[in-house]
Parts: sequence; C-alpha cells; structure tokens
Amino acid sequence: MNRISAAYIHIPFCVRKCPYCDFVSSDHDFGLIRPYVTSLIREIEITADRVPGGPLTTIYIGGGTPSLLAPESVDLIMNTLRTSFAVDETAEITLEVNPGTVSLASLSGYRKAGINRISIGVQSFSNDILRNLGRIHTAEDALRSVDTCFEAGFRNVSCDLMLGVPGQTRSDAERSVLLLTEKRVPHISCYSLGLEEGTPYHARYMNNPELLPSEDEERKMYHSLRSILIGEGYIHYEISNYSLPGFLSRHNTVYWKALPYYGFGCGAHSYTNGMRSGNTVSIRRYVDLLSSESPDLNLLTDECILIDREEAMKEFMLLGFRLLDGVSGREFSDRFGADMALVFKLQLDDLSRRGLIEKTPDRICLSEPGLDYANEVFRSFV
Amino acid sequence: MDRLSKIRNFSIIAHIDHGKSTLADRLIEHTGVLTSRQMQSQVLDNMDIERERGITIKAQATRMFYRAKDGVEYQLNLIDTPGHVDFNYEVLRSLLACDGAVLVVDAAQGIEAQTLANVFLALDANLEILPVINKIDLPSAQPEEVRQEIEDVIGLPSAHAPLISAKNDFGIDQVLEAVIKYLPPPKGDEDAPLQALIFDSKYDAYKGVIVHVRIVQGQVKLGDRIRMMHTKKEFTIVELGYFHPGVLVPTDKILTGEVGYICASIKNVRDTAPGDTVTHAERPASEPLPGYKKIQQMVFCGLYPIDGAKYPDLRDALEKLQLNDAALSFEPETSAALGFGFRCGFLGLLHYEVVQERVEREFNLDLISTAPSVVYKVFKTSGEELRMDNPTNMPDAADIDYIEEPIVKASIMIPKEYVGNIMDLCQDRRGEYINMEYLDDKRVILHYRMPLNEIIYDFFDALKSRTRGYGSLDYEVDGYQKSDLVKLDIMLNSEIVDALSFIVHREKAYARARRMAEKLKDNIPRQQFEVPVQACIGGKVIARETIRAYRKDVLAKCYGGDITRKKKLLEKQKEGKKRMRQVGSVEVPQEAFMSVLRLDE
Repeated sequence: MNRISAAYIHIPFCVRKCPYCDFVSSDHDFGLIRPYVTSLIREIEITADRVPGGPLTTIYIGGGTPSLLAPESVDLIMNTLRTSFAVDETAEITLEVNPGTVSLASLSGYRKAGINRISIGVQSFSNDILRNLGRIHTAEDALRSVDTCFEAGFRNVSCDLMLGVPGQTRSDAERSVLLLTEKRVPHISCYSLGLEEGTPYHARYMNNPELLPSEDEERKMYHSLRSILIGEGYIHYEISNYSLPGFLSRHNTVYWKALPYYGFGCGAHSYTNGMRSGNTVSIRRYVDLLSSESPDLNLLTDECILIDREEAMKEFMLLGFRLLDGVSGREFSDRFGADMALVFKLQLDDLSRRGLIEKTPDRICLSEPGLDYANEVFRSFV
Repeated sequence: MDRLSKIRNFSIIAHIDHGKSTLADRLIEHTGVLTSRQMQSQVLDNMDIERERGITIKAQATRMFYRAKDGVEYQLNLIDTPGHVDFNYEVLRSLLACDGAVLVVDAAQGIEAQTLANVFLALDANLEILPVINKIDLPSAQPEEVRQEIEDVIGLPSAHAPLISAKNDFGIDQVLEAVIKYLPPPKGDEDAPLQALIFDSKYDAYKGVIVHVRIVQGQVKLGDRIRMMHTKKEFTIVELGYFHPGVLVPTDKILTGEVGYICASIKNVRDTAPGDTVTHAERPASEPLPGYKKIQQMVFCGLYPIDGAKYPDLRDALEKLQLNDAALSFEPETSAALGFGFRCGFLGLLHYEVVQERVEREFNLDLISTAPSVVYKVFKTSGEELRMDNPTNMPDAADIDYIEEPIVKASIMIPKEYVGNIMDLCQDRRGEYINMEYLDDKRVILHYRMPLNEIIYDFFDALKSRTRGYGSLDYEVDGYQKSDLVKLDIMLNSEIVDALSFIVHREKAYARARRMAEKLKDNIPRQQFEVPVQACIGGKVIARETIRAYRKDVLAKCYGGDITRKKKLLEKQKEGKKRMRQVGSVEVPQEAFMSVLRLDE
C-alpha cells in the first residue's frame, strides 16, 4: 500500500446544528472543546507509533465548525502532526470555517499556525435560503468572510455552495456563483442537497418532494453553474468541484484516488493498512477513552472493514469515476498488476453501451450524461 | 375377528381452516405414535408453505394403532389430502385409497363451498362419511345448527357426529371410537392377483421414488417384480413398509387392505403416475383399478430468472420440484423481453403460486412470471386447429377463423347480503348466471358458467375482498366455448414486451388496457429517459401512459472520507435493482410484472 500522506481531523462542534446536516457535531457540549483537543493530540501521537506514515502532504481540519477552535488549539494540533509525522513544506493544509465565526484576527492566527487553505461554508447568497438552511450567517457575512480571508493573506480559498435547496431558483444559484467568480475565489464546490436519514430535513422533505426544486430544476441549476464556471476559466475536475488552474483540492483527490489517509477525531474515518475504519461518534466516549491511562485505540473504532484486493479494485473504479479525468488503466495496472479493461470488461462494456462513460487512449471517464447518472456508474462497482 | 376388520383406512376432509391438520395431529398423539412433546405442530404438513398458508399440498399418510373400548387393537391408516380446489385430482386419488372419510366442519363457520366439493368427491369415491363438528370451544360456535345444516345441506345423518375441539384436545377419543364404529373396514381378496393403487409418490435422493400405495387385492413382498399398469414400466421391489409420522418403517410385505410404500430404484416420478395400479409382472391383474386420469394443467405461464445467468439454476429447481409434483409441467421457452425461461403448466392459480413461492424460497431464485394463461383452441381459416397456452403464439388475426376458451362451472358460496356485490363481480367477469341456491336462511350458492381466464387472474382476491373474506369458491371445467378474444400487447418505449401480452375479451380490452398502462406506469420506476407505455391490439394503440424521466442520480457529498457509508448506500440501491429486469432499454421491476395480474382494486 502507498505511503500515508494525508490526514483528516474532525472538529465536532457547531454554534447551531443545520437541519440538513448529519455529520458528527454537537451544538451544546462546548465545555468539551478543550478536553477534545487534548484527546486529538493523544490520538495522533498514539497512532503515529502504531501506524507510522508521513510526511503529510495534505491535512484537512473539517467539521463541525473548526473555526470554533482558538488559533492556539490549531497550532497545538499542527505541532503534534509535525512532530508525529512530519509535514511536507508544500503541504496543502485546509481549515473549514463558517462565516460569522471568523475575524481577521482569528484567520491571521490560523495562518500563523500553518493553515494555508480556507474552506468557507457559504452555501448561498440568498438570506431566505440561508434562513431555511438554518445557517447562522447572512449573505453579507459570507461575502465579508471571503474578503477577510484574502485580507489575512490566504490565496487558496474555497467556498461551498448548495444546489436544490428549498426555495432556490436557478437565478438564485447563478447569482451566488457569479459573486464568487467575480472575486476569483480559486476553488468552488457545488453540492446537491441530499436528504440524510435522521435529519430534520429528511423528516420534512422526504415525503414532500414538491417542496424542493424538482429533479429537472436541480439538474438545470447544476448544468447552468457548470457552464458559468467553465466559461469563467474554472476546471471542472470532480462531480461537485471546480477550481482555477493550480488550485485543485489535493485532499479530496486522495479520497477519489483510493489512497490511504489518517482520520483523527470523533466520527473520523481512516484508510490505513488496507482497513477502512470509523471512530466512535460519541464525543464523550472519545474523550473518556483517550483520557485513560493507556488508551486502547481499538476501543475507539466503531466499524472496521478490510478492503481486500478485489474490493480495492472496485473502489479504485467507483471513487475514480468521481473525478472528471476518470480512471487510468496505467495507474490501475501499476497498483494492482492487472488489466482494468479485462477485470471490469462486463461493467465497462455495459456502461459505455449506455453512453454513461467514454474512453480516451489511457483513461475512462464519465460522459456528459454520465454526470447526471454517476450513481449508476458507481453501482456497477459495488 | 379377521385381520381386515381390524383395519380402517380413512382420510380427513374439510374446508381450509376448519381444523383438519390439528385433528390429524391429535389423532396421532392419542394413538401414542408420538408424544406431544415430540410432535412438531401439525406433523403432516411438512412444507413451510403448507404451514404458513394452512393448506396441505401433498398427500401424507400415517399408520396408527388404537385399542378401542371393545378391547381390540385396530390399525388405522390416515391418509391426509390436499385441501384446495386446484388439487382436486390429488384429493380424489387419496380418497380412492380410503374406505371412509372424516368430514370436519367448523362449528362457527358451518359448511363452505369446499366442504361440499370435498364431500361430493368422497361420495364419488364411494366412501362412508363421518361428520365431526370441530371448534366447539369458540364463543361463536353453534354446534347444533351446524349439525342440522349437515343433515339439510349434505344429507348426511349427523346425530352421531362427535362434538370436539381439536385445538383443546377435547373429544378426540370419541372420534377414534366413531371411526371404528361407523367407517367400514377394507374388503378384498388376499389371493387375487395384486392390485395396488398409487395415491402419491415422492422422490428421495437415496431411495429413488417412494411410491405410496393402498393394496386393494393380493399382497406385495420384498423382491417382487412389479408392473405399473398404465405406464407399463416394470421394477423390482428393494424396500417396502408403512408410514410412521415423519419416518418410514420397513417391513417384508404389505397385505390386502393395508396402506404402505414401496421403493424399487425408480428414478422418475413420472413412471409412478398417481392413480395408476401396481400389479405383479408374473401374475398381472386383468385390469387396472378405476380412477386413473391423466393430469391436466389448466394454467400456464412463463417463469424467468431475474438474473438471466440463473437459467440453469431455475431448470434445476423445477426438475427437483417436479420429482415430487407430477402435476407440474415445464418446457424451455424464449422470450424476446425476458430471455431464457420455462413455460410451466399448473393445476390452477394456487398451484402456480405455490410453485413460484417454493422456487423463490427453497432455491433462492428471484423470478419473473408472465401473465398466466389458460389453453385456448384457435381455429384457423386453413382448417387447422391450434392449442395455445401462450399469447405470443397467437396467429395473425387474418389467419384466425375463431377462438374457443375454456369455461368452468363456478359455485360461489356467500352470505346472502353479498349477493348483489358478487353478481356484479361475476357479470363483470363475463359470468353466465345459472341459478342461486339457498343453503339456509343466511347463505346462498351462486352458480355461474364463467370463462376460466376471468378466474385465473384475481377473481379469488376480488371475491374475498367483496365479501369480507366470507366468500368461497369451487369450480370445475365445463368444456370450451367460442368467444370474441383478442391479444393485447404492451409496448414499453415502443417495443412489444412479449411477456406482458395476454388474451382478453374484445369488449373488456379497452378497460383492461387502460388499467394495465396505469399499473405499469405506477410500478416501473422513472428511467434515464422518458418511456411511453402503450397498450395495443393488432398494432393499434388503445391506451397510453408515460413514465417520466428522472434527472438526477448523484450522491453529492462524500465527506471526511466516509466511503464505507456511501458504498453501503450504493449497495442498497443496487439490491433494489437486482429485482429488476432489463427489457430492451427499460428496467422493469418484478413487481411490475406481478402488478398486471392484480388489476382489481
């Protein structure tokens, strides 16, 4: 297996939980933030002994709302990573922030701690939509936070937008993306709303799809944003992600290329030693386990699945197809010593007969219609 | 007292749910063959489906010994019979192996259509009938009314009918005493040439076919060379014996009047046709016993594996089922829509459902079934006559002179307040009213002549739902009749789906077509593109619906590297798709094929 050069760190705290979100996060146990950071540091240190790796070329601190951490805490985490694994000097180091939780001072602090990329959860520039999404910020807050990031010296900034959310029209979506391209924000993610089980949104909309933009409308938004962004010089490099040249997110690429990564923190996932595993989703349990005399990391794991060679080949395909570049036969044979065209002949023939994928001399990727039916392609490889 | 007078061969007949199997269990318990602890509930119903549906599909037999109040020990052979109209012939040949029958009537429900049907079969078989009134513990039990009903409706003396509760183990000894007192012992000449009636046969992987027989004349021994009088096949007996619940007990001979089994290294259940007569090869009987009938399949449909690669598995499954089910027929067929499958013939709709369920459950295969069809007689202008059990084989309209369809005489027993409802239903199903019979002041029997093809879809369900479950149905075939029939084709995305074609009366075609198109629209999920659903006769579209295209099939975010979860979601979606069949360019779920069989809401 490849050297582990990526780490994800989860910060499970938010000022308020958004009704569509099902990531592990608490909007009340703020007293746990300090002990949580201490626990994170212990987990990183112990893991470095058990599963050596590094140097890290990408680190992603996500959440939750990582910008609820004081810059000192981020500094502490970064230092631990440096001593435990070594961090490549050209590494991409991302911190997720939510507008309304950042200031010039805090952003400068993060920068000093080593963060060199900020991902902002903008979601929309329409206040009505933001309210329905349960966000704590306004459109003005969002715009201001983009500016503040640049002001604090961050060049590599990413903004998330959501598509297909209640009350959204195509012109809302177009206006939002144009505000970002105008500022030449170098990386933009456009995620379609998914109704995740157990969330208030699921309860509210699952059986009332008429309250959401129709599928047709959602697809129109998607394609309209896509053509705007491409017209503005952005590269559409992954189903939901666009960047200006040179600003591709290295971190997400690790996932799509089925490469290994560490996952630290409550609910974080990792892929190390051929195992995909997920940490406990209980913050309290996480903190308790790591505060013990000699913590047993095995107890931290909620689920653990061994990815054998066959499974790894399938993952290579189903994850790889998320990238617009698709999968490379050469990379496949380098990694598995097998011929992709033979191993997956049935699936690839069927998908290309149905016009969902297309082939170039070395690569196979989603076709234009395949973008809308990507799951159909992925399902061929599970 | 001679040997024969200490034997009773009998069977229990009843309407479904009246407690036949429970009574059988109790008799077995009381004769000490098994203790109640050893008994699995309802020993005789071996198959899961039989237990679940409370019906008996295969005849079973068991030998019991009972010391009666007169101090004599009797040998009682209980031959269980299937309990549904579809299995009439199986019932009849089981009855032919008996000398008497115990008729179980539910003290709360009274007589039902199938009670009567079974009684008539028993009378046809010249059996003495002993009525037993069961479930007298129910609060709604009216044993005296039911006793009267048995006398009035069936004309059986019932003063001596035991009042029992099989469930509560009450009155069972009375039944045993009455069996000995009122049911006759077998007769027969022990020295005459062998005549043994085959009433069932079963395939066993080690012993080959186990033939269930009743010795009518003569006797049969280990090593005898035997001959099947109808199939003309000869075999040498390697094992014989009698039935213990759940086990076979080998012995060295079976005598006149007894019930038992023989094994003779027989490989094919078809060589031991139920109703056939076993005789000795050396000293054959001059003629076979009466009652043999070649099995006639009434309902046909195509069965296809959802996963085309499972075709060999389906063949294997059908072959295995056929080992024990002589009534099931199948031959390979090919459908443009569904690929390779089998045209299967069944006794009736229940038989069809049972086979389908067994294939799915016991062999773990997902099936798609085409609409069931009856056997039509097509008379071509060329003078040729064609038997057609598959709508796909319907000749060009121009070549058809006329078509005949099978007609049945249906007896429908219902509480009288539903007469209006059910007359409407029968009328709607092209029924021809014959008459109405009052059973008592609450219930009537409606007699109709009806096309069988109107019954095989969902008539029984419709009858049940329109009578709050009180209606019951029995039918018998009553010849063929000329009829104005047309073939209705369904097109998905402008391609005919042969598996969905069916034959319908011209006047009903339009309504049927519309319902079919609606049902398909509701049951076929949205596809990558818009799919027109059209129903047509001879290329002319008479109904149309459109399945709109879906637009989006993308999982947006895959966050924090939680790939396992996304994979699970994709797997779940894929699982759902497994039960779909690619028809041309359209994915059609199994339910869509099934939904068109149930058009009555």
